Amino acid sequence: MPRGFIAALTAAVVAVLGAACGGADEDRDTITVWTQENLPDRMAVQRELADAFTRRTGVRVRLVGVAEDQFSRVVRSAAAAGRLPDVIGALPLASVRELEANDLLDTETPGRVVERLGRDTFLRRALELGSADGRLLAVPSDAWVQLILYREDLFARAGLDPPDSYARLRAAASRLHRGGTAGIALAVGPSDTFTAQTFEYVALANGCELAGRDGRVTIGDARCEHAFAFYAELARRYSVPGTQSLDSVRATYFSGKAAIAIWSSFILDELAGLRSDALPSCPECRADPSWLARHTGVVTALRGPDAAHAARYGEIVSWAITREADRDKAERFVTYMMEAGYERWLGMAPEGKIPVRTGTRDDPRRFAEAWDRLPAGVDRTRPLDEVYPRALLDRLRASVEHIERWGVEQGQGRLVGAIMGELPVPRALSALVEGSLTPRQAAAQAQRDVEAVKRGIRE
Amino acid sequence: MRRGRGRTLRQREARTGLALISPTFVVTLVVVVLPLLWAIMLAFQEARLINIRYTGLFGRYSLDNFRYVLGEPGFWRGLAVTLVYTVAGTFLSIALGLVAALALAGPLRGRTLVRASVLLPYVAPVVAAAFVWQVMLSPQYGIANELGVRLLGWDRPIGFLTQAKGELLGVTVPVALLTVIAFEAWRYFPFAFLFLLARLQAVPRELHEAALVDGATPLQRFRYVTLPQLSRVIALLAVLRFVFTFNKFDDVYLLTGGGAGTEMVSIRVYNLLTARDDIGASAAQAVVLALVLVLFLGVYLRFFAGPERSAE
Amino acid sequence: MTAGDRRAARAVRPSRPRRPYRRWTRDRVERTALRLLRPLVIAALLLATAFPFYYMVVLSLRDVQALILDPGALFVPPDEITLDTYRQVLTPEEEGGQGFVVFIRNSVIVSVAAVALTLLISIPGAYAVARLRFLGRRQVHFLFLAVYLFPPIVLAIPLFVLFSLLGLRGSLPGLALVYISQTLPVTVYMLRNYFETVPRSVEEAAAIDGCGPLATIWRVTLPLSRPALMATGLYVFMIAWNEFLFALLFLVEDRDRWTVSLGLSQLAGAIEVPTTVLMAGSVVLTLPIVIVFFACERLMTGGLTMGAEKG
Repeated sequence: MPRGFIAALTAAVVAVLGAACGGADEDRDTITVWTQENLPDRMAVQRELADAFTRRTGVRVRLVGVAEDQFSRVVRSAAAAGRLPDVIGALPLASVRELEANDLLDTETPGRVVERLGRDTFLRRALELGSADGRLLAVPSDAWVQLILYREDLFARAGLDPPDSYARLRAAASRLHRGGTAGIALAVGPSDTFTAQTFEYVALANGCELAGRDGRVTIGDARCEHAFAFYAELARRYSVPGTQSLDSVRATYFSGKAAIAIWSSFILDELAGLRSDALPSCPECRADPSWLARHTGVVTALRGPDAAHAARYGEIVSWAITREADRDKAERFVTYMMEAGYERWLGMAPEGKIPVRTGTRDDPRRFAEAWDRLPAGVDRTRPLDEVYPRALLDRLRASVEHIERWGVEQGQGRLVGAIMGELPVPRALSALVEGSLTPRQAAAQAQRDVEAVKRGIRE
Repeated sequence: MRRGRGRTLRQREARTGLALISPTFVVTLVVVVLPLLWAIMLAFQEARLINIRYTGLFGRYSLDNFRYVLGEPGFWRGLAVTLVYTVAGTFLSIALGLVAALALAGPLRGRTLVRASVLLPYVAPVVAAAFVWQVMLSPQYGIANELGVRLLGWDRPIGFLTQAKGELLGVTVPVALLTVIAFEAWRYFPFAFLFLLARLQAVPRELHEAALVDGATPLQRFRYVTLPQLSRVIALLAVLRFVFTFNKFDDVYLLTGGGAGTEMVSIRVYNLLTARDDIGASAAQAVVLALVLVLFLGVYLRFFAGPERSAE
Repeated sequence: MTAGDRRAARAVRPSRPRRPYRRWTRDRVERTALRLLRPLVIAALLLATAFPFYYMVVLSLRDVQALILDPGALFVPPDEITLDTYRQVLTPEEEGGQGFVVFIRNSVIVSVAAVALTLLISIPGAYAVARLRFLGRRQVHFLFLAVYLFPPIVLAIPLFVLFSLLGLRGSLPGLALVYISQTLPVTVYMLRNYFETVPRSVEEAAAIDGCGPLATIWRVTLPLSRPALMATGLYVFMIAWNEFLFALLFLVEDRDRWTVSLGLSQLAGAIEVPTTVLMAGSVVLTLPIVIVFFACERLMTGGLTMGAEKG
């Protein structure tokens, strides 16, 4: 073939590939923001906030909602194609670690944002959990905490103490497991994130850790074995049989068919009857939708027999800025969302968005106090402090300062991110509850599976 | 006629041949050979989708992936499962195909209909076939368990696709693996059937007649006349089915997702690629899989197919 | 074998003391057994192969509640037949259905494109390997076969990475391109076998009339090979329509791009979709290919077994 033809062909191929790899021409004045708050009503609020930001700064925002369970996959495709966004919002701790481990985060800008806003306006714990090697990986924005909800009326009638320890929880669940009512509604599902979260709470309460600072996997240790045994005992003897999910646990408690339930603080608006598609349906609730809220007690800190102190569990979500982002515009956007737009942001679902920034430099308690009055609910809204006692709201806010999580402080964030997809711990737990494993075998299996994931990370 | 400038017809033919084959050749190169080479390269690199843009095409090369892959106990289990599945599936599908071919070889009323029915498992899309089997074997509302519980007196429905081990007459059997093998035999026996039937019908009548004259019973005729005639086809089928079954992904993935003791190596490769985003390890595992297959084929061709090659 | 033959046969063999005529010779036993077995085997074959598909159709016509109440029922009473499942399967997603029509459209696009591309690229190559002698001919032939034997998953990995890098995942034409990597080798093999049977004399006549090789192929070989072309085209269509692995890897993220195979498999995992609706989906997936196949059955089986007859 003639040489000129080959040259032309090569040039064409290179041009095509270059164009494809280079990606579309980015609009200079636009940043792309992904958010995991992808429910339609919350997207609407975020759209308004973004528009307000545009009016103020002239920077346009392309807003994209990403479901939590799709996030890993979407991020990978985008990263490979070179189409990562500038900012990602409502990112859970484990995801932040996953992105950081793969070198996808800009870890300088978050620090600058926090400095500018005032480091001491942030909860220390939030900054701690969001940092690695002294650098802040992402700007923490809000938190939710895991709660143990219990029927105060049933407890009072039976003369039971609030279930803030393994012993009390077991006693209450067994005592109240009668008639048509289950003692406790507990999540059990082999590939279920909610089960992973609930179990992590119960396990941390007993001092069980996923891995140590040295990297050794410790989920097979004695304390974890006890946690497995305890959880399985509750699930098998005092709970509803079969796989239990986020929805079924809530439904069971709401219908009055369970005396205790473990759920996140996101339940508080539904508990008060403020959301139509998840209304309490207990016999007493028919007349008064907020009856259940008034008769539910809340425990935030749980303690197991092997632990030195009680543990609280929750999640802190953050704003992350990616490596290839337009840093200046991203910085302005995140700053806006943590200051001028912060109350509106929290107002999307205040019961599950406890502020990690308590106020501004001039008004250090501004956001913490405003939060109490933020309207909660979807179909009907009422300020939180009208439905729940001030003491409870204070406790929620205080709990954020003591949130514990597996692996994060031990520097094993990458491992935590990696097990998010495969969920080896719920798998072992489900088998245990089903009866095909003993607690020791379940702990051993979890240990083996987590170690296999760790080997896979090859760090 | 074009003027040859001294070129012979043969040379011109050769030139045309090369020219004609080149589009096919080039496309095969681009779509098959180059990716294959790249896969081998990836097997030696630490590659993940999530940061592949930053690691570049010519990063570090090492044996880490192979060390990791070969060190995982799950890999050896997977290899054993793959081999059992392949051998059993190949054997069963050819045996069933032979039975079907023999049964349908002679004159038969409604033969087209029966032949059409026999081909159904092979022609139907694998997704539909796997799904129907899943539903039929479902412990909740599947007909297999219904019949078992009602007519055969089982005390509990059997999770054919979800149970790793079960008891049959006092022996522990790998339930899910057996089910998956049964599916393989069901789905691919028509393939063997077609080949065998074609060959059966081409066996010269004289051979049969001579055997009859010698007083051979049907079984003897089968053993001494038919079978030798079929041996070539059976050998070919064995190789083809072995290769295809060894490489299989779709069927097993759709039926069990690799769970309950049916995790074949191809499914491990897929999981490493998508769930773990570990491209390097996935490629390494795939390369090992291909090598094992080549090894088996090599052994087979060396020891069993010597005289056949000359017919090529 | 008649009694006369038997007597004749016995007469030919060296004489032995005559035995009394026994009713149950081995031959007799075997023949009777086989005569009884044959219909049983055929019936069993029919049952094993056709029953699952019958079951598929039956379930697609039932209501899911009825299924849970009575899983073992094999006949649907006429008053219980419901086409609601099909309606649900085919209605677009915005209207609450499963949107299989979109999937069908995607499958058709990909399959037709794959057929066109494959034939376009393989015909010259098959012709060359069949007819023309050139250096490396045997090696090329062997290469095609060897490629076909590689695990498709090995190819899938780099293609997956490449498409991810280019952002082409979710692209239907891209998928069609990937499919030809699966179909080229077989097609070349099948076409080559057929081209070899086209009489040379016709081609030589065309050459004498002044046709170059391409013109010869176009004017002479192809029209004569119509059955083989159809068979090959159908085979490629079948492969592309039924294909799952590559569709799963490349299309799964964009629901609008799913093929029917992929759509059915993804929805089978979803809890909200009733089984009966998915059975209707299975029928929708299977019916076209079964119809197409049996309409041209003779061609297909001829094409597949061409090598076998040479024994």
